[in-house]
Amino acid sequence: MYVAVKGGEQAIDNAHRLLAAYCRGDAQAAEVSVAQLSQQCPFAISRIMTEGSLYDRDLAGLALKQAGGDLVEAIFLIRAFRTTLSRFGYSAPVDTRAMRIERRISAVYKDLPGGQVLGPTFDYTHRLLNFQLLENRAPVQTDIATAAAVDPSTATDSLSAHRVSDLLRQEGLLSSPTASAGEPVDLSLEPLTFPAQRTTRLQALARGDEGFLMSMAYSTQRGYARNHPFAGEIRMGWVEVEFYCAEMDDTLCLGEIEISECDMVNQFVGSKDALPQFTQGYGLSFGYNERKIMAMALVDRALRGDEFNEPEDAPAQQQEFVLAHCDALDASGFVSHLKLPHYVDFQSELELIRSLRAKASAQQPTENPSDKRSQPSVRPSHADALEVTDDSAR
Amino acid sequence: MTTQAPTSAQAPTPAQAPSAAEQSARQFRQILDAQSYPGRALSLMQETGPLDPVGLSPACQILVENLVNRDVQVAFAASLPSAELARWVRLTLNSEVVAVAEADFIVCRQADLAHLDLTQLGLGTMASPELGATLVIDYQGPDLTAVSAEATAGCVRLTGPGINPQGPVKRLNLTEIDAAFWHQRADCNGSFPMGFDIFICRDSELIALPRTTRIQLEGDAACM
Repeated sequence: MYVAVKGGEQAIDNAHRLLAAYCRGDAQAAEVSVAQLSQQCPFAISRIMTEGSLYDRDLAGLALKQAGGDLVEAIFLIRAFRTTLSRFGYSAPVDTRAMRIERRISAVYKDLPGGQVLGPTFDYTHRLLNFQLLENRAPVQTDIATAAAVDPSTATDSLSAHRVSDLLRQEGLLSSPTASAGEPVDLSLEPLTFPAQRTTRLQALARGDEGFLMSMAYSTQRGYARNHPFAGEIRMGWVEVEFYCAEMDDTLCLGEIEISECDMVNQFVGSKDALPQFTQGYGLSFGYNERKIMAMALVDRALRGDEFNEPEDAPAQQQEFVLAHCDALDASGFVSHLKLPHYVDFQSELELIRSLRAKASAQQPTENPSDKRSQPSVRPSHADALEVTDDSAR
Repeated sequence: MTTQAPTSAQAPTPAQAPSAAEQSARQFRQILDAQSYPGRALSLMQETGPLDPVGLSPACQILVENLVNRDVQVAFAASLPSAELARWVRLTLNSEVVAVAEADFIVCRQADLAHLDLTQLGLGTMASPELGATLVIDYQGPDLTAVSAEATAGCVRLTGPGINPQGPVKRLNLTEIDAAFWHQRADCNGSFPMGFDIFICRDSELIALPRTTRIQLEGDAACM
């Protein structure tokens, strides 16, 4: 992202102070605390952590406060901070089968083992403004454990035991992901190159801008990639992060993180050699980020066209189009760079356009030569000067 | 003497110990500032608790802790306690100690400089000068910034990016480092942007001498 801006030191200092005042707003209103933001804006926090690629609710809250609620700016702050952190090592792959589930729904099996668990969701709200919140009268919810499950009788002690994708794969109905050769590329260290493997694509999509991915996903559903899948499973909950310590020759649990995961079940493929199977799109994010993981899963599947010999003519199927433009910081940096001074570039364009206009005016057939002289807006150009010189030489 | 660079990362007298993340950010900022202002001594402090004793000065230990990890290789000169440091690097930083020629960071004391073959240091490439090595000198001697306004034998005079040419002359008291070292440094850094950078740590202070900083020995007309 372009950030270097030169200018008057005093003016920049004043701009910083004005920004602080603008973000603080009316001093009569109580200052919002980082803890309040971290706790009471969980969806913004989830998005900042996911696209910022750093799991830390407190720092995400701090970034949100510092950015005055500008999510892309907050993501930028987190990404910048992230680059200063020591890269201690890679955690073991997270086992989402062992997720401590808070929400788990499937659009393909009504009575799936473990049951449907609605959890905290906007899905059934009526989108009516709750004016109680104006007076800070948000009800504090307690004793809601049993309200989480639609049908507690179908819930098991271990909701984490079953995944819809596993059930389908047990019957051979869902294709398995093909293992990529070698270690996955770490997108934090390696620049994106094309064609990108699926492991790389998923990293880029996980950090990708939610709005961009949602529009791309929407385009696939509307026909620009023949992609209208079933939501096989959407789950949100807590998983353990483990790290293998070579010095101790043991795997240590570092703690739990909240994640969201989506398995989309897409149209099937088959051939005379292989039985038909459903295909899969996958989405994963930090925190609770349902719209993002669903969009990610749709776009992931759209980008798998080469695996299934599908025509790749829609924008969402083009790796370079999607991956090179999905990062909010890349995109906003290049758009924002237009604010930087372009005085010299523009001056050269001005010179050129004036010259072209003058030349075009000079070449236009004029009935009365005096008309040309009566056009003061067209300044004498270099081309004109040459013509005069030629004439005078003749 | 410690000069605090004006940065927004430094909180004004925190009432309580900073979080690990905040401290890490502050330390990293100090390291960046040190490189931005060559020759300026900045404080590198640990506020969240005592450092594990590993045989390095506090500034040197904090610097290595901040910059060395599994993707960054470090080498230690012979005068440093290699076994303890190797264990510390493995356990705390999840990295491995390597030979000087392979290292991104080379940590030594000033006495080691006479034996250190600077031509072994990575200088990066024209396309990737950021791959040049960093030499960390864990300096044991008098205060580096305690110099008189007049030119003194053994002192070095600094010029270059980050040093105000209209400001007071920037000098460092580096009498413990032999003049031959500075000449070798000049040879290595001759093909800009390739070269290596230097950090000098003394107790809790950090001074950076990036490859762009020109060094002139007092009494020596040549600028290196």
